Amino acid sequence: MRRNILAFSFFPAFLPPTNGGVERLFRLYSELSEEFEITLITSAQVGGDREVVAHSSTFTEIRIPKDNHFEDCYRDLLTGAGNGDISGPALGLACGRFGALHDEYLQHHPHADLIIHDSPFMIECDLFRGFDGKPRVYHSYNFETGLYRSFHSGDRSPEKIERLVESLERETCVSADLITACSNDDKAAFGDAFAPSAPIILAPNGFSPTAARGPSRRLPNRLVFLGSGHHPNVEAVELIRRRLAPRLPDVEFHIIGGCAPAGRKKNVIAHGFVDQKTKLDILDGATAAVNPMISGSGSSLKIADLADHGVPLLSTALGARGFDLEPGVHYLPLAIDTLEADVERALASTEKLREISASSASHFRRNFTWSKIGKDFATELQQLATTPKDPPVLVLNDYDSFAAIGGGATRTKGLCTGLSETKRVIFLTFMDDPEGEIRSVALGGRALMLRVPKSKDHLAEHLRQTDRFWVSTADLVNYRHAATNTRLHETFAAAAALSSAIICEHPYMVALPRHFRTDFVYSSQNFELELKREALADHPDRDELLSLVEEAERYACGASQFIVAVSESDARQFSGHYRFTAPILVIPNGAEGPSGEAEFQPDSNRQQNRVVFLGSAHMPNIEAATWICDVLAPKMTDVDFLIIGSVCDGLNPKPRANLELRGVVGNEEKSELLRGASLAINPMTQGSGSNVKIADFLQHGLPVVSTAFGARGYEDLPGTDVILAELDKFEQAIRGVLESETSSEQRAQRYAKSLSMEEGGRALAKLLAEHSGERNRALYVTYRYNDPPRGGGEAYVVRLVQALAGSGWAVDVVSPAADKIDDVHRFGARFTGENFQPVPVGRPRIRSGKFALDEEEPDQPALSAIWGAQPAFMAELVRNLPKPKGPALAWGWADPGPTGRWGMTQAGLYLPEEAEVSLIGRPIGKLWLQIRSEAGELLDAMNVSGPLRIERTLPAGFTELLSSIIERGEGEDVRPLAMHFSTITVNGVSILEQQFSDIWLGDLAAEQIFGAHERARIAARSPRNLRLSEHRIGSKAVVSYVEDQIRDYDLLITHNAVFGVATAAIRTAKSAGVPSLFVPHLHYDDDFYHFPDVLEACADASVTLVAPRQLTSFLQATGLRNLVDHGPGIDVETEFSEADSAAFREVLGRPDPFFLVLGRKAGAKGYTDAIDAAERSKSRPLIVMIGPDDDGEVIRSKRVIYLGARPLAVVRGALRECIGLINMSRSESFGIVLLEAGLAGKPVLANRSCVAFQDLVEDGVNGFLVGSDDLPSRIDELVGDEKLRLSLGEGGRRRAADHAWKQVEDKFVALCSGLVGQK
Amino acid sequence: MSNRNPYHRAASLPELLSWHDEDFVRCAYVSILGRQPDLEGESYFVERVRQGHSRLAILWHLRCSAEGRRHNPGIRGLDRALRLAAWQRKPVIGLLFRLVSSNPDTDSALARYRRARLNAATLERYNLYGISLKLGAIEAVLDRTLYEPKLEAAQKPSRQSSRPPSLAKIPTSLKHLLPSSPLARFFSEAEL
Repeated sequence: MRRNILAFSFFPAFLPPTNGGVERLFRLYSELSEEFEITLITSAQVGGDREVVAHSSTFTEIRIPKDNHFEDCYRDLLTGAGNGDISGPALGLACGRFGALHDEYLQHHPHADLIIHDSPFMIECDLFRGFDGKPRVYHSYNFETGLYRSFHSGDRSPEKIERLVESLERETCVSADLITACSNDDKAAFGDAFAPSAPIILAPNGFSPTAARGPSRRLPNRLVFLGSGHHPNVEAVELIRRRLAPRLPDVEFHIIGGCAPAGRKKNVIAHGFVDQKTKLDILDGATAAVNPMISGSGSSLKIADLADHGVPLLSTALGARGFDLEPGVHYLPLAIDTLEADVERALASTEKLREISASSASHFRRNFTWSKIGKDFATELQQLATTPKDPPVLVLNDYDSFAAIGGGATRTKGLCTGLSETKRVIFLTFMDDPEGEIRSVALGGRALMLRVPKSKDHLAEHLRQTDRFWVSTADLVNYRHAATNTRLHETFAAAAALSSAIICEHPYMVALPRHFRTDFVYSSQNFELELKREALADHPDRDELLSLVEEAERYACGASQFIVAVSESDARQFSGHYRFTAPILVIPNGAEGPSGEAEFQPDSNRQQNRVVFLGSAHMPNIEAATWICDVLAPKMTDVDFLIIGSVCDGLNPKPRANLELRGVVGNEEKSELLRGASLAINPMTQGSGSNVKIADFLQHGLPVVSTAFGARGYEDLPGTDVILAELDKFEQAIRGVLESETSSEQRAQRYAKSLSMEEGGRALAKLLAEHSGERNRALYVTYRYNDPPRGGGEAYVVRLVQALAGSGWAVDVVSPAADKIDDVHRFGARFTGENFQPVPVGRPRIRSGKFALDEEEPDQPALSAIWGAQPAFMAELVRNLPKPKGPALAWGWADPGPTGRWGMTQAGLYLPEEAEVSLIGRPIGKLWLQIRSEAGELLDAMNVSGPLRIERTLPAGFTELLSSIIERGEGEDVRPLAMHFSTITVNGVSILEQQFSDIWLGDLAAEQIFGAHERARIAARSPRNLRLSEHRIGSKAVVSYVEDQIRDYDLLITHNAVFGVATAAIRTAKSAGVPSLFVPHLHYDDDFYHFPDVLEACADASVTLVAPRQLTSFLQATGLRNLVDHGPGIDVETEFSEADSAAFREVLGRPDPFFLVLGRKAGAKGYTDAIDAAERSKSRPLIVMIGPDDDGEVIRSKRVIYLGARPLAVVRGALRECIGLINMSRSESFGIVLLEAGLAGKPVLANRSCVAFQDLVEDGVNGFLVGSDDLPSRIDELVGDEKLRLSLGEGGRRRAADHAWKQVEDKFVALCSGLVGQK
Repeated sequence: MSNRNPYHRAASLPELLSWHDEDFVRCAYVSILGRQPDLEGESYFVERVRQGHSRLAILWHLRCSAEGRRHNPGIRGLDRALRLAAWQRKPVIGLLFRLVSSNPDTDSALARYRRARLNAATLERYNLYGISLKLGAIEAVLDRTLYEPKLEAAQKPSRQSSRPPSLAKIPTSLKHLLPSSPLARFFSEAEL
């Protein structure tokens, strides 16, 4: 593939060439264009339009007119100019400021493989030199430094141009990977002047042989001189006019070119610029050419031109340089002292002139054709491969952090410094000064600073805003204009093209990656929205400005590759406030470290202790400093207070002897002042992010008295270094520190590295590496994603997903924006969400998106249909279960309520033998009631419209109450309710409050329970195609996202079969051919999970993870082949400490022994069974309940203390302190709490009818499986037998060890990896 | 006017419309397609101009061509103005668009006649400096008073926005920086 050359020339390649330089420019690039694609950017005359000249299909020249700034520079240099043109140096000066040439460069740079400078005058346009890995060539025409030294030795400011040209040429040479010189003299001069590391090769001037024009008609005594307006040519013409012409009156001197104005004066005929034909006619008629050059550099192309046309040459040695010409063979030499005589003698030697003409022509055609020179040059260029340098990182900030002072600037500088140890950095920012320096190099050559001037509109808006309100909104003005500043866009695009990553410091330059839709890292310094809400509370444009902040920050959080937060608190704010967030990782603030010599000597001139505060003119700092000035300093007159930094600009305190405002100081002075202080204070009460100044103080060896708010992010530091106090206790705290003796030096050493911002930069480099490169990508679809997780199932899968991301996968998590899910008529769900919904943070490669919740309520008719089939389902279920020993409510009964129990339109009773039954209640409306026996016989029938009382004997077996509702009363219940019974007795014993599971499921084996449910589903729900998850979606936007994007993922992970986002995602993945991994959380002993869509999802997933083991076996027996047994995990490293116990006892407030009930307080969790059992037991122990209050029911038992949701330390303490754990939940996915109790060495009493528990509890080994009947006796047994408790506790520890998270996670990651490739 | 070069791209729609006859076609090619017209194209469109076809229609035709879509003319508000004019020229629905415009672009026979005359008058003005100058002047007045203020108003941003006027076409040189996360891409697109 042809490589692209981007070349710069400070003059255009005009055609036909007007001088030797133009000739070389055009011919050489024409030759190079045989092998390369050439884009030549040239500087054209002032005014005019940009022109694109296509010299050939592979050689394009872009002529950029010089601008007004060039004219200013030209005028500026003119004051110090001597002779000769200064347009080159003026252009070199002008290129220090952004102009059209830079714009053109930025457009073409990304496509260039090689960059050639044909002069040093446009080197400043080459913004990325040294940072882009693209080879540079200085293709010199002259040794410009020497040339301009000879031209511009005027006496007014002789060195100005010289110094400028020298510095430009030095930079060009230093940046170059190859230098070409036109002559050996130039080659030597470059070496002597700049000692460049790049090789210097010869690339002499050449010529293009012309076709023979027939025999020439050389006339006697006719000499010709060719030359442009280049100063050495003008000097030569002067010699001809002053010395040769008068001494040789018979000889005609014909002068061609810009070196002399056209006109005739005696025997000197100046033709000026002539066309090619006229030139050739003059050359054909000339006896010889004279070339009395006395100055100049490079080589003269005209020599080749003359040789080509067979014109013998009379020249000084200087004039004939650069072509290896031999005097007397290829030209006749002239000496300046004997110029006239030498010419006269030469004109007389006709034969010699003819010989010279022939040998010179032959010499040039052999060695100096452009074709040969071009090919040689191309060969050299082909060897210059693009250096495979590690690409830099592009850092964006809306102000120049390297020129600013303050916490933010310190952080950015520190990050860049740390980053630059492994990555080169390009730092792109705005600058206010349109004439400021646009490019510089920092951090020991590892950072390139690029500053784009703000537009006039930008500056004007900034001024308007400044006039409008006293709090600066410069960052927001910058944000707005970053979106529209085209020069900034072009610079960004070219810089980004080179870079491996983009980092946005603050969100105010985010318009750039947004405009180009590139990836970027959002390196935050605060939670900006909160910060600005406070700062701009009284701003007249507050709402508009805050919406800008939110827009910028929302995009930065949602679209970035990852977010760097300064503290956990900010991370949580980001994740809670914004619905879409990239992985959020914390790099705490640090300082840049002390400057100057480290001496910890308090100022001996001062009599008093000095307390210091520093800060930028940031509103929270101003508040804090104002408090120091107005409150603290007047109160503590025996202490000196020193305030440093731009915060002083916002203060106007009363003068006080003990208060000094030092304002902005240099780093060394700051360090000196800090070292001389005794103590630092940080009375901050507002703001965001974390205070860099605390790190700064500590690194200078100062202890810090701070508010807890001001010390956020430094919570782990010892209390002897950061002393926390509220403002009203500050004086006391300060005096306490001043009276104690501490070693500043040791403190400074202690924090030199750990609180260094450079360390943060190293961490950032590591994060960049962790997020770069191709990797497997999973989509995790969940019905709810919050931190902390609301349920055990959510926590379980989050843990697995985090393990997957930890293994190198990237995971996108999508969910409805819900933090609360309420059942609606049991089978439907209503999703609601608070505005603030934090998600887990601190994990690389996990990003989340929360989608808008659906507004419509669950579909009532659909829920009615499910409920309509519910009695039939339950009837089929009980018919497939063993009959209970006593009378039982069988089907069609709602849960018991406070005043009775609803019976549905089909309600069944079971009697083991004939019995007296009493049913007292009231119908829902007017209805026709039939009572039928199991055999279908009609036992009774009646119209019911008011209170109902049935007292009669019913036969053994099932009896069904069938109600046909004629007129329904008011109510929105979707259940087919018929009658509300206040009394249901059999032989005088009430069965009104019976629990279905207790009576019917009891001690049955899991397989039996599963099988009966399965058959009931097949009989009652599948034929009606009743689907559950469709009424539990939460956000259809999640479903749409999965449908649109699933093909871009390697794997789908989802969980909980009763939610629509999960079942729909599995369906979508299956039809898209993307592998899926499903954690259905099946409670197969619960009718809730027996719907056709639940089973379909389990079957459609590539892999379905199931627990407990009995369920896996059961489902496998029904034909599912994609099941993997995957049990719960537990952190076996968890330690239950004395501190945990203390934390718990502090909350509990009493020392009594107790049993613990842990988990959500919800009816299905069976906590009332535990309470009842404790009441019924002999020992009547205390029951402590910990967990969120889901059902809102009031607990009236005096034996129970309900603590609500508590931190982990309290939970650990409760486990450590309890007698044992009781869990009477009827249905669980895993029952992790049982393992946690085991890990704490405690026995468990668990509901034997919960299948999941059967996997975890082995009777007599780590606890007992119990029912509500034998729970009281087991409670008494544990209370009374310590040896048993210890033995069961040991058994629990062993069982917990079998479920270590590490094993569970590793298995999960292996499963996921195994699925990749099945796509 | 005669000192201007029709082969230089126009910076605005009014500037483009200030050309007539073959100069209009040349400037249209350079501005809309970024190249000089080929002989065939030039003669075809010059004929259309002379027949009185709407110059906005010709510009829209060029803009909608495959070549035109690949080239960014860099004229602010151009597409919007051309699209509006295209709607105005539609047979039935165009009436609605014409009702809200004081200087609508129509394709009626009368409008064509008028345009053809104006174009011819401009030619005559170039060639004869005679009577037809008046007609050319009328068109200039019409453009200045009716069309140009509307276009300027359309081009003026109603409220300063932080969003760029149009999204950049993602340069190939930045492809390596495209977000790898589909969720990040989805969010970005939704935000844009």
